[in-house]
Amino acid sequence: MSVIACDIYKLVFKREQIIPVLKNIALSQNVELVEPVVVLQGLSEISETRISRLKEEVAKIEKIINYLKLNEEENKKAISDKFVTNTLKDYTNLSHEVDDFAEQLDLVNQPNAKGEVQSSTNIVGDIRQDAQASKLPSELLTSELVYQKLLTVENEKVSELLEELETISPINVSVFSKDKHDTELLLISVKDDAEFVDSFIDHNSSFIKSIDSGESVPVTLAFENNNEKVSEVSNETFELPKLKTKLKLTQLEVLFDVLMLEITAYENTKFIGEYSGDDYETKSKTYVELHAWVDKEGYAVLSKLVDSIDQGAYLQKLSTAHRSDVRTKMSNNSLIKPFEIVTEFMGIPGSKELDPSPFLAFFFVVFFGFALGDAGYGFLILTGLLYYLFAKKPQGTIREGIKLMIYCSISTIFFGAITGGWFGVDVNVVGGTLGETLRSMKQIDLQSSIILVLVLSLVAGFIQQLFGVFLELVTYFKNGDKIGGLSGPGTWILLLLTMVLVAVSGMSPALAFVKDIQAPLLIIVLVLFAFGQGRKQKNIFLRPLIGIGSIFNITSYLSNTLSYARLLALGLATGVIASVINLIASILGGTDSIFGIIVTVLILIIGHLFNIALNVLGTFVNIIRLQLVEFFPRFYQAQGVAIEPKGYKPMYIKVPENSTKFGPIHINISNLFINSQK
Amino acid sequence: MTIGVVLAVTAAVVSILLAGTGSILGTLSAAKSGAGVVSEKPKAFGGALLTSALPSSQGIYGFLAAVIVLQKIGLISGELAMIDTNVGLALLFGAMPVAFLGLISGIAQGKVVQAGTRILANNPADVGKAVILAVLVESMAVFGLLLSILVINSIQV
Repeated sequence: MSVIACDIYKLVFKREQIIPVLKNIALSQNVELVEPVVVLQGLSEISETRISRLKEEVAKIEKIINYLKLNEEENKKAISDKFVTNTLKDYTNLSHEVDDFAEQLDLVNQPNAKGEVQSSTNIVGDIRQDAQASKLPSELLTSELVYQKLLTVENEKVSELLEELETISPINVSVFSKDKHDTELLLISVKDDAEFVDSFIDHNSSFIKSIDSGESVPVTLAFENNNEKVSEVSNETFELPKLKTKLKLTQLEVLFDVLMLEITAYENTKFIGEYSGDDYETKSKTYVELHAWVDKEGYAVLSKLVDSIDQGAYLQKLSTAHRSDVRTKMSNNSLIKPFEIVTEFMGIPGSKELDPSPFLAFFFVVFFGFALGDAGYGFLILTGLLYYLFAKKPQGTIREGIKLMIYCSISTIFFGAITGGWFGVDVNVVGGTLGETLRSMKQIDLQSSIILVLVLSLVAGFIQQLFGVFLELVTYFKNGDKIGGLSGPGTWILLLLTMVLVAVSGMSPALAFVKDIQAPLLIIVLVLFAFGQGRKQKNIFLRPLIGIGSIFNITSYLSNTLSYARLLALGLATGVIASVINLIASILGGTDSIFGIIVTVLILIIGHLFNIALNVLGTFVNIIRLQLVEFFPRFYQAQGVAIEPKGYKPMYIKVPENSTKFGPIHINISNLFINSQK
Repeated sequence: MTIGVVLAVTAAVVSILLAGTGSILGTLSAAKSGAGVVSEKPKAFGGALLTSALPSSQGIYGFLAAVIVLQKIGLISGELAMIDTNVGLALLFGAMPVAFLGLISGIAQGKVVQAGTRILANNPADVGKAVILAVLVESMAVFGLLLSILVINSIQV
């Protein structure tokens, strides 16, 4: 539960290791490269040429991957280390195969080769554009421009006829209609090519049942109505010829990741700087350096890298004492980690700040549960989340977000149960053991105890405010400024607690003694407050005046605390909307007939799902707001800068964490470096 | 039903109506500019959502005041109290601070958020700064709510 300040390191290594080193760094998500002081000259030109070549290669591979994904049966197996190594060993052959196959795909994808259907739609589209441009009745124009024939063909003979049609480029075809036995094909060509259409029909009269002039069919109508059908038939009859290749999808996926990694490495060459250490004259010709922010894992990556490459490479820690951009990272256990999402809304903590995540966790969960406050909804959300968590096994931020919502849904169940919120149903009318159980759990009736709950909401808000000031005090102590902490936030805590004590003294006989001493008590506290707050003022006589002036800040405590009244409002809203949905369902549906029951069930399902979606979102945003606006400003400025690794996360190859090798899994550098040898 | 009850119900209706309108108009301008930023920077969605939701507070305050009025006259519990005209008027005036301040601050907050989305556009991580600036406008609505609650609560029914 802390904020980790990252370190900045200088890595010095030989020039020939630039790409291997950058590849290894690219695989790490814990290293942020920094612009060098003096850029290594000439490297960017080489990199740009290399990057453009690699990108061309990747584009071809991507194209083939997409083709194979469409045409190959999905038979996804995990890619083993051995497979990766073998694939890369065979890179030269694979590369040739990729070039050839990509060329074949390009040829097949050309419009004329693909079949007339595609060009048909294009031509019809062109004619439509012409018609619109001339602003004349489209039917008149199309009949002037277009020659059409509507053929009725038996379904079995359609594909043969379409194959024949493929050979005659000026004729375009669309399926006008289709029934069990016959298909109506609309042949379209420009009027100059009418003879092609007629001669085609003569030659293939054996396939054709009947012929119509087709003039009754406006081209625009044919186009609009049959666009979808054309594509269907196109898939049936004009499928791309199935191209065969020795290339396997998994091989291409390996190549894709490896080349993308290589591209990233070349892109990162801009971070390579000239050597700036001792013995500059001799070493600068052989050595280069890079600067990088690293956390603990990132440091491990760099130090193992140094061990691996050896050859005089070394790592040197640079001072961060006077830097304002020190990279930081939150480090919390798995229980608290989900709350980092809330903190990140404001920004990550600086090295001298506290990480608010553990401190907001309790408040966030309690406030959320109270504000949503329906146990039935809580159960539904929890079930959905648990299913998603175990069935889909999400990772990263989504996983943490789901965990956060699981905490919140458990809290919602708790608060829903004690306030009697069960899908907006009045627990007093529920019969049997269930009703008794629900009633026994209900401790507060929201609607009849509005003022009480309002007061509770405000008290909860005040406690969080006070806790925020206490955390500010802790921050002062953490940074070694104990006097500053006691005189600043310390005097605020003293003043606020005294005011509370005086305010509640009349409510309890045990606190009656406070009334007798409240005047001197308040005077003492105010004097302390005045001197404490004005401590930074150099003129000793002005200190109390300046200090007492800060008492006006009390309005911010007041307004912030009042803002917590939204907890009550949100809690009421969920319950009221839920009961209204139940009311609508009972009025519109009922249980007298099957139809009534169906309507009731539908209204209940849709209505409550809508209410859940609406209120979960509303509650979530409002509770985050309470943390960001009311709680955080007391002690948190989010001065941290997050590490931004400029790496590549492989899409297909699984890279073990903290891999000490020069590339994905156990690939030899010579393999990874393959493209530069090509 | 007495004129007093009608006035009390009017107090509830006016508070949610005006404060809610402020929220709607504020959220409208905030969400419009937020959507613009998100279209360019999808990563800014979280921040845009949060800032767009800020002007919804005024509606919540209006709703809260309305519920307190309705609870005061016994409409929620189903035991409607006898309210004379003076009390009804007092409740109506009591609801005015939250209603009007909610309306005006909702609209104004929307404008501040609209300007604040530039912060989001430059750096989505700086959402906190945009939020804090926008919340300054809301203070008056909070004080309006406070005054309304104090007035409504002190009226003897």
